[in-house]
Amino acid sequence: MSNSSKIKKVAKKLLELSLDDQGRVGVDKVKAVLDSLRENPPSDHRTLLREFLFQVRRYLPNYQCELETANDAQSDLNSVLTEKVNASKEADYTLDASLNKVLIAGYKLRIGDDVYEDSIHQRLENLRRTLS
Amino acid sequence: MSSITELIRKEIESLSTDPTKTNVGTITALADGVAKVEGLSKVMFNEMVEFPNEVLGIALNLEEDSVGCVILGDTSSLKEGDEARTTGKLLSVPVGMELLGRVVDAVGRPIDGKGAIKSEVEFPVERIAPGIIPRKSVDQPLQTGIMAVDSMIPIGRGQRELIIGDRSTGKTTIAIDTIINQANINKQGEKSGDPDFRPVYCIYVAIGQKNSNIARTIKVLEQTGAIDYVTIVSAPAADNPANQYLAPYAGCAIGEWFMENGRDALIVYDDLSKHAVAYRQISLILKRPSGREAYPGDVFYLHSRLLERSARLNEDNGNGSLTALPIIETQMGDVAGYIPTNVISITDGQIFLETDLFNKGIRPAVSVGLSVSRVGSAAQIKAYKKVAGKVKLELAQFRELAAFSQFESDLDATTKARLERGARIVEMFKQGAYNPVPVEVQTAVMWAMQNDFFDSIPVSQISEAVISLKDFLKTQGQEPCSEIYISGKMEEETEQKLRTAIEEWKRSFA
Repeated sequence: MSNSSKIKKVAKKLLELSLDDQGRVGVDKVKAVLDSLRENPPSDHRTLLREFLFQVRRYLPNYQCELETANDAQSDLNSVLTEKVNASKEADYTLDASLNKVLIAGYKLRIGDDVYEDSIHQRLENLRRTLS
Repeated sequence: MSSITELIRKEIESLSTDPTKTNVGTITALADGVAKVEGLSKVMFNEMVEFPNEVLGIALNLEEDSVGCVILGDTSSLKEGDEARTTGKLLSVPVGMELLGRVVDAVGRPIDGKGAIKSEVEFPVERIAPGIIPRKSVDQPLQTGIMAVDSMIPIGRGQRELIIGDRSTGKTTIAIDTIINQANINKQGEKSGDPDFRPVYCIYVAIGQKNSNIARTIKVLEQTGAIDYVTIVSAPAADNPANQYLAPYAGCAIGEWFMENGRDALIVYDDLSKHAVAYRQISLILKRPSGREAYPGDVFYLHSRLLERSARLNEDNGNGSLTALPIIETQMGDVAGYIPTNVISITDGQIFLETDLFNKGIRPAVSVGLSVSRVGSAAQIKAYKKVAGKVKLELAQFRELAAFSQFESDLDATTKARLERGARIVEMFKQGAYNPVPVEVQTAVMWAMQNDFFDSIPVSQISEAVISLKDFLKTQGQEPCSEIYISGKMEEETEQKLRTAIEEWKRSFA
């Protein structure tokens, strides 16, 4: 087995140790894992941490999605989108909302590497492509 | 003014207002024209990936954690952390009659300054080759206009004939001559108004060549009026390896459109050695395991899947054809190299060009012994087959005898006669660049040689005599040539007319 695949295997194990009862990455659990690694540093500490980060990032979209909106007051939209995402994915998702003025109006929802967008910015971009 | 606003308003109305779904990723590493992208979990193999600033790439390595994308264009505007998104489209190029007379890059974008290509059809660059059922044996000739090739190594429509030789031995010239000859035949056919006439459209793919060489080729095609029947796909040495890797497949897709629409097309890949080198470069950067001469393991498949797309389709599938003339550059005449042997085994024969012959002034420098056409003879016209049947054997015997006779002071009469005949045939086959000869004139000249009309002319004057005879046959002695052109046969009556014409020429030449 090559070194990189060993590291990958260990990182996956660390991810498993970081999950709470609900199958979500728990902050306390991650802290404990990191503390333990700091106390007993492995030979490829930095590479292992990077791989661990990659595994965590890949795991988070299983229950977390990011929402960007053009305005602050979008609580209705947030709840509607959360409901729709939960229904379509058959899971309990949490929405991480943020502000993005570039959108002008509308929203951009990111679940893992899938992006759903309905904004003025995107429409203008489509128009520009059609005309160019 | 109102019409402009109306136009834009309509465009806005036609735009979809539904949310769009895209699959995105982030560039984690970027080097040597290859981007490693994290994400893009739904990307397909060979799918076009869009990067910022409208830079496109192709997904070539689908790994567990990342995707290796080859960038098609300027990578200087990209950086680590940039977003990449899938397009849902496999790499496609525009195809159709609109591409004739145009110069395009590896993704079908015009680079000749003649404006946009108004083609509505696109073909994917990578396609599966026609299977066994839609194919048909090669049975129609594709004349190159080069006597040495058409007589001894005839090519048929749908054949794959390799042109192989060292640098500067006239490989490209043979390909360009063939293209010019197709254009001449097309013009003649269109002029005749024959409803059964099938023009041959050409695609010239320049891979890893100097821009000056490509410009020179375009100029020759323009000067000879052949450009109207040709599409040039250019991926010069200055282009990134991804474009050089894709160019032959793009050219093939353009040719396939003609084939699938019941037309005949000819494609020249100039050259596949550089194509293999570009692919090796990409593979090494993508960290694929390397094999012999550092080429990746699938370098055979790289060329076999390309050349297998050239075919002759049967009547049920439109009766179209795509003939391929791949070019391979050898090092020091070594045909046993990795890439040359691969391509030799894929193609239906090869035209081998020798540096020694080229330097001796025998041009085209075709090596009779090493050149072969495995299927083309079935497509040769009857008249030509009749006069050229023995010439390859005679020339091979001459080369063998010429080697032995160097050590002999006293030669018997038969050997002397064979040497004399061989020397005359060699002289007859000498032909200038970009000057293809129509098949009926070639047949007449070969007939004259077989019927001893050149025997009384000194060997040193044969080239001159052949040029003079060709001119005569194109002007005063047209009748027998026209009969050969129309019937494709050498009837007794035609033979008699030809004899009279050549006797007349000989009197004037003497």
